[in-house]
Amino acid sequence: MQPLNEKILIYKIITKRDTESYGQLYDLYVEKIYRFIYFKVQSKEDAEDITSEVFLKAWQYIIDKSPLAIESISGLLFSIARNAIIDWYRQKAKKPVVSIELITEIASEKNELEALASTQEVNQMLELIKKLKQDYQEVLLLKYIEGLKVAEIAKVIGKSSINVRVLIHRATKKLKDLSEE
Amino acid sequence: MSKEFKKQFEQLSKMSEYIRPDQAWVALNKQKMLRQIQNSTAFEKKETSWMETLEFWIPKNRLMAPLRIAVILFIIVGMTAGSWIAGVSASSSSLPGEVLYRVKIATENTQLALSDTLSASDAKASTKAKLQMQFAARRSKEVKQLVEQNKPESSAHVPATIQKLKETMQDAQGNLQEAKKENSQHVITLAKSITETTSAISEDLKEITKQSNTENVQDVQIVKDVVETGKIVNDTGLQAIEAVLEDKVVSEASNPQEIKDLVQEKVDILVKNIEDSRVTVEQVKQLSAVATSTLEVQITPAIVTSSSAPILSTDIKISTSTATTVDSVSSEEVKKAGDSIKKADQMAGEVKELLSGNQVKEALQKAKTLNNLTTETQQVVVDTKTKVNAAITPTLTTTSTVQINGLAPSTIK
Repeated sequence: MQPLNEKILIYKIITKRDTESYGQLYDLYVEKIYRFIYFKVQSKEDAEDITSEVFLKAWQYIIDKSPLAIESISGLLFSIARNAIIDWYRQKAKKPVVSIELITEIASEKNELEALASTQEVNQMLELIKKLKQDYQEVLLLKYIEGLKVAEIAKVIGKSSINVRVLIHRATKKLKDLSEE
Repeated sequence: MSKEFKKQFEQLSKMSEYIRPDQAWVALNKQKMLRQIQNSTAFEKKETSWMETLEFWIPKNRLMAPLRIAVILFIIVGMTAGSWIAGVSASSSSLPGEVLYRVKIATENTQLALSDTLSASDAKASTKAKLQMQFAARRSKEVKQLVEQNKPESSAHVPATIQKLKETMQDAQGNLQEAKKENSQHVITLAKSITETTSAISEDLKEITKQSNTENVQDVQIVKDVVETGKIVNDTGLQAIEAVLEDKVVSEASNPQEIKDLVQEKVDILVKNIEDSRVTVEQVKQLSAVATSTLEVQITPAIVTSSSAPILSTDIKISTSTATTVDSVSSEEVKKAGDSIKKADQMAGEVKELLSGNQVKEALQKAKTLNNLTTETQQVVVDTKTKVNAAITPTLTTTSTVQINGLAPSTIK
């Protein structure tokens, strides 16, 4: 269940088309969504583009929604973000040519992220996560980095809560196996 | 998950907090986004049904199920109670004869019945008495409104409503006596509320008397009923003060000046009644004088227009006899009323004297007698007014007959 202040904001957005309330929602979630996207795309510029696209899509979704059935705004935003990332990868696959500047940039950002991994263990962990398959990576990121609940993750990835639990269990097991290798 | 893993995830989570978007970009992007959605969205408000709203605030899931049921029940109960309250509140301004008046009376009866069950065992009679006083005040307001409407269909309900007012006052009196046996703490508040309400009712009754037309037989009866009810009302007010004085605990606890003021208030009402009676008698005197002079004026054209002497002499005879009737009736009755007023005046003076000497108990007893005397005076005055009116009305009829005789078409020609 989402916090009451978020509910009030959504209610205002749906019934009154209140952009100011949407601005407040943006402030609440922009960092989380950006981070989620950044982990996946590893590019500052792309993460920014996808993030702004996510918020525009979310606005459209909320005001079009009838009846008022938005159970979780975080679930909605992460779900839109996830789809946007999938679209981004598809487009990237179609256009394999990347400018030299962008490559340099991505490389520098990668360094930035890795620089954050101050300890050896965390750095190792990041490397291990990258080796996992997409589903596992996603559930682990959503669960342990973004702190989403199982039900919310289920909404984001379009699976049942039981499936999500199984996925988390398998992902951590796989991670453990990888670390022991 | 192993402890080691958990620790690493926690570290990763903490670390990831440092991955933040550029704050300048965040602000700029927000501006751009809001501008974009403002331009692209039609800003009509979205209509949502209450079910949709319920769905939004309490979504369907197992955890929320009891809350949903509770809210739905609450809404149903609220709507039912709301419509009942709306009906009852609409009925509160209804008058006898109207459809909703029955609801009003039914609500009052329910309130009385509930007061028996809900009030504390040592406050049952006082609660009932208070309620009955409220209802009595409502009845007096209703009678006032009915009389003000001045319509035959409204007037038809006046006697019954006055009767109801009388009965309610008597019931309240009975409960006041009962309340004396209950917790003395309640007696003082009850006495105050009764004194206030009785004063308000007295005012209403006075208005009713003013509005009534004593030339009408039905109205005369109404005025008589009102006078009688007024007596009961004032009596109840005085009894309430007596209840305070009788109870040692209460009388010691209460402020003597306060009780004196209450008695004073009641005496003032009675004195005002006497004053009103005096004014009415004066009016009756004037009325009879005008009636006599009118007779004389009306005879004059008969003398001028009639051509034969016998008709002329007949006319004068009739007029003289009727004028004498009005005169004799009025002087007799007015004298009687005047004597009665004098007596009441004298007693009012005595009560005031006792009060100024702080003999509140004696003053109260005398005020009770004064109430009886004032009522008698009022009744005498009503009778006087009625009799004089009755004497004047046939006189005028006779005059018109005289005119017909005098102005017979054959005579004029």
